[in-house]
Amino acid sequence: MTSFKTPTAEQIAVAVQRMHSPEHAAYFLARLNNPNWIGPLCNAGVFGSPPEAVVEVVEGEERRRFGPWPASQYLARMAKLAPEDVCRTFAEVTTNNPAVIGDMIDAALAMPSAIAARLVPKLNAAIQSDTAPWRFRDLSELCARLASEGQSAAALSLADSLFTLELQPGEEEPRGRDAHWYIEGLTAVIPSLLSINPLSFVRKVFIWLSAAIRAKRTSDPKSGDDHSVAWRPAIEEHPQNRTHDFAGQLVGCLRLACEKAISDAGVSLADMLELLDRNRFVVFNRMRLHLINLFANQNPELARRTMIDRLLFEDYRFKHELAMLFGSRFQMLAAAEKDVFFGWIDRGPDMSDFDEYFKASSGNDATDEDRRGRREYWQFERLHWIRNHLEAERKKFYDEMFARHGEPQLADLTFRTGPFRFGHESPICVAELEKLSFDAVLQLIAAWRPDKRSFLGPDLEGLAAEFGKYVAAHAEEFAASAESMQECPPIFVRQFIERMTDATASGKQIDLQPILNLCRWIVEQPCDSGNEHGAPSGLLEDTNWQWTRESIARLVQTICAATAASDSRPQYPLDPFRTQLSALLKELVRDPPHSSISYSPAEIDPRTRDFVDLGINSARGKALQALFAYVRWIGNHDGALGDHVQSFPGGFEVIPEVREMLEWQLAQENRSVEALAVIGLHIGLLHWLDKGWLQANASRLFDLEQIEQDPGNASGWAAWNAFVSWTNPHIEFYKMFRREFRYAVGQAPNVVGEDGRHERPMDALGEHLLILYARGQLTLDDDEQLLRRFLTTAAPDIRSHAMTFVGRSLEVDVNAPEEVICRYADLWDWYWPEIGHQNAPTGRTHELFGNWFVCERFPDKWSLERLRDFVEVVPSPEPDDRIIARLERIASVDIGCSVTILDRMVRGDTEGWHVHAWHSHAEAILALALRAEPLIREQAIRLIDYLGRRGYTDFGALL
Amino acid sequence: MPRDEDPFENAPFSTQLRRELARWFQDRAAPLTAPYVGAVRLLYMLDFPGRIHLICHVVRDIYRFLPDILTGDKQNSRPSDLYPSLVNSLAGKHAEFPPLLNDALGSPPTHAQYPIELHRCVEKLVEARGSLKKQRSIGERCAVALFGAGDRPVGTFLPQWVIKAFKDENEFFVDRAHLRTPAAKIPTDGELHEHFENFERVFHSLIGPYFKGKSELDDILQDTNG
Repeated sequence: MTSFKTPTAEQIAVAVQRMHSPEHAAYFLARLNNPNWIGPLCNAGVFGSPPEAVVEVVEGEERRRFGPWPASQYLARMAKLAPEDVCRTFAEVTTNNPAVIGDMIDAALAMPSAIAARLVPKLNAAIQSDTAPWRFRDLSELCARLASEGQSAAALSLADSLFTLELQPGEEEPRGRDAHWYIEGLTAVIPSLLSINPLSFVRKVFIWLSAAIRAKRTSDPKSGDDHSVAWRPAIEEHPQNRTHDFAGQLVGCLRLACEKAISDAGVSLADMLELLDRNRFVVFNRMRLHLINLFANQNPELARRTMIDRLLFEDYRFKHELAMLFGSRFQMLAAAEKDVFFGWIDRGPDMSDFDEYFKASSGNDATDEDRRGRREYWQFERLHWIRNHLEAERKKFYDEMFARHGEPQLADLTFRTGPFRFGHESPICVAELEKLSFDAVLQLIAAWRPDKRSFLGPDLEGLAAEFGKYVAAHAEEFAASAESMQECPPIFVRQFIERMTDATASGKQIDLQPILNLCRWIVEQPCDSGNEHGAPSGLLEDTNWQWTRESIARLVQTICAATAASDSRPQYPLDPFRTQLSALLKELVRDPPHSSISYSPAEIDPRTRDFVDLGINSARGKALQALFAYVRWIGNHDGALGDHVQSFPGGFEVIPEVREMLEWQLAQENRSVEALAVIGLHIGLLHWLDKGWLQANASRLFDLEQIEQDPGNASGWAAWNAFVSWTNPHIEFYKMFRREFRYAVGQAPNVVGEDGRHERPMDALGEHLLILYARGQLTLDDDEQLLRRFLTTAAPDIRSHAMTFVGRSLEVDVNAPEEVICRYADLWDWYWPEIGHQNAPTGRTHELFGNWFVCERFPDKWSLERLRDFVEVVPSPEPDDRIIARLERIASVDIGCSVTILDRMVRGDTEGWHVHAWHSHAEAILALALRAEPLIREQAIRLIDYLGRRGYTDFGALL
Repeated sequence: MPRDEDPFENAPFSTQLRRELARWFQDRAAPLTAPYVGAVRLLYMLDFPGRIHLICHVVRDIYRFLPDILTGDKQNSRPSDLYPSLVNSLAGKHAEFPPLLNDALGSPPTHAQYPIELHRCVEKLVEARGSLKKQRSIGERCAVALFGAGDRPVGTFLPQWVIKAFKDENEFFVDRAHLRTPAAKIPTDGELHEHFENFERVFHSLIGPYFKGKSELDDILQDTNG
């Protein structure tokens, strides 16, 4: 046994004095390993007042905020060495702080049980007030130890607190405790607590289980029906038992308690059955059967009587336990009793409802064959219970049935759950299809329908996927037969076109003409037709030709994008395809605009959302994507898309079909956010194609003012947002859309961005303006101070983003010319004092100057001084680790300024862990500062002192 | 006082702790620097007449005014700040609006009916009493203010036993600050030194250099854990 020094009066006085400071108290108590301090510290009152947990209600939910208490941590460490002192001290502590209760639990676990028992009242109070629910496992361990080491009263009292359930109807899991830990804890304490008073403890488990069953929505306390066959199919541990059902798991605990009480603790089967008889719920009767079976040797007569109880035999709720009883105890029956059992089997099941059930499930009238099949299968299932005891004819019958049907899945269960199937299943594999001709395959797929009675099993989606593989393997060959697809349901036609598209994209030589003929035929069909082959049977089965039309749009896009392997020229000639493709597009661009992504226009401010995702996921948007691919295809043919070609010769006059299709989209009655978003996405292409047309139609395309009249129909913002989000800034665009830029800037103060969305069009607008500024194409005062107005009046988040963007972009653009850097520096020197510092404390400002600093493009001195001003307002700049790393590199430029920045950032670390990330950099800066002039040195010493108080004691080595 | 100058003029009682405390007063509560330095000097001027009362008075005032200086809040109200004017007002209204007694039948009155003007004065008096009761004690105010001045993160826990230590020490000096202090309470010179040094150490423990205290604790830990 280690002996410890008794602290001197002087040591106690100095330590207690120092511990008035919480940082010193934490430091000292965390390192103190001498239990002889408990008394003196107790006398000084150090253990008298733990920090309270603060209870807050956040979004209707109660939450506790609490911190550790070094004093209780010290006590917990000393529990093994001075258990009496620790116990006495903890017994005086009153707290709602879970951390302190946790230390109390640790202490109780470390001390002898006789002493720990005295802490049980405190622990009970903590459990009842849900103070430390996550320590359930440790409390269960303590409970088991108390019981096994003779502290019966304390153990039972703790068990009551831990396991007593107060559940409201419908509340199927214990409140404030984790169901898993509850079951694990109860399982752990059962052996120990049974040793105290087995029947009394089993009765408690009964009560807890009854409470859990009563709370179940499906239980009926009056009749005792509890549906336990569903939530606990077998009383014994069984793969079909649900691991997530709390009451079901509790049945397992009761079974364990009952079995151990009889086998290890001397309780008689009769006494246990009497206890079980007092409860009405079915699961207790099932438990009864289980125990009669397990302990049949204690009462063979009872086991036999139970097996020939006709009422039990006919009650499906006892099927499993009865099957188990028969299976293991059948040999106990006398010959006459066995005959009784076989007589029930020979008589067969109650068939009174069979015909009605058969008709309802199959749609057909039952035949004698059906009835005989049902009867034989039922007999097979019952004989399965005693399969190891069968002889002669019955064994022969059983073996025949087994050979025919396999093991009966529901012989001893009412329900059985199996693995789920993911994906789809085909009735025929591609290898089988390969053996047939293409025409035969088409006949097969056109005629095949899935069995509606089968939940699982082959389906149309599975067959279509397999057909797709078949087509893909022979795309060049089957292309010629495309027109024969007209006889097939749309799902197969779609597969065919998609596989032909893939083949085209991969450069295979596909005969397009028959495929385009098929496409032509499809687009001529009424869009809502295609379901003549029967109603869809699966979620992914086409209900009409719409999805096939979308596949055609992708095919057109692929054809237009296909290039020859040799010279990147278009693979397909304009003649004859241009006419055919434009005819298809003309139909497809008028398809429904609605996106497969759901959104509600009423809930979204159109100025804040980029609608491109909606556009490219809509039928019309896909067609427009194909249309723009068509434009490029023609341009490539004419050589107009070369690197130095500024515009498409002849513009829309040369491809009037495209103009017509686009202008249709701009007409008031046809406008949609989906289509306009896709058009906005291609402003660059339109500018190249026909800038005159774009200029003339800009106000019609964007129509931003519509937001004032009818925000729900301001679809022009979809085009504008796509433009600013996806098109590189250029002065030509600015000049062409000056009016729109001005209007959008005017809207910037009034919008609130959608949280969590990455694409924020107003942010993109700011990026456009700042890039033009950097290039010297737009000053703060141009166009009635457009940029100045944007940076002073836009919503704080928007203007902060714009300024943050500068730093980010300079990090990427390492070759930005010096004049760009100078312009940006001037911009910051105007922005920060003018407006930036005012809105910095709110909004997205942590990165505002951080990225400017870390991009390392601005002069060191300038960067340090601006960062110092910035952290004065925003003491937690990001990315803090990189900021401090650079700060270390340039600290010698102005060490006073650097220490001031470091000081602000250390104090701004309210989360308390950031300093860890840049510890070594901070150390290097402070080391430099300690060698500087007295005032700087003094500031560094104060900062080191502060860091010490925050727990970073190794900085003390610098002093 | 220049920053580098020793306010105790290198006297034997000029300890590191005292110099740091004086320096801290100078930085954070300048009006209290001279009283503190004076009290320390007086502590060692054994033949200075009335020094015990004077020292206790200074320490009492440091406890009382330090929180106001550190936090900028209004100091605690004292009963003598509130009661005289309220009682005077009550007396005036009592004379102006005397209560009506139910002595109409000649029997001794059992009830008095107060006019509303008089009632309002009583209410104010009761209210003042309530607000005085709700005030933090001076010791607690001082502990909280010093704690907050010690460069600590928001939400740092201040234990009750620390507050109690401030209260107890403050009460010692308050009880001995006045001339009417009973002779039995007047401390011996040894007691005065003990309490004065205790007051200094408790203050210094909250605002003094962290690593100095840590070093002291390290010495104790090394000895006691070994």
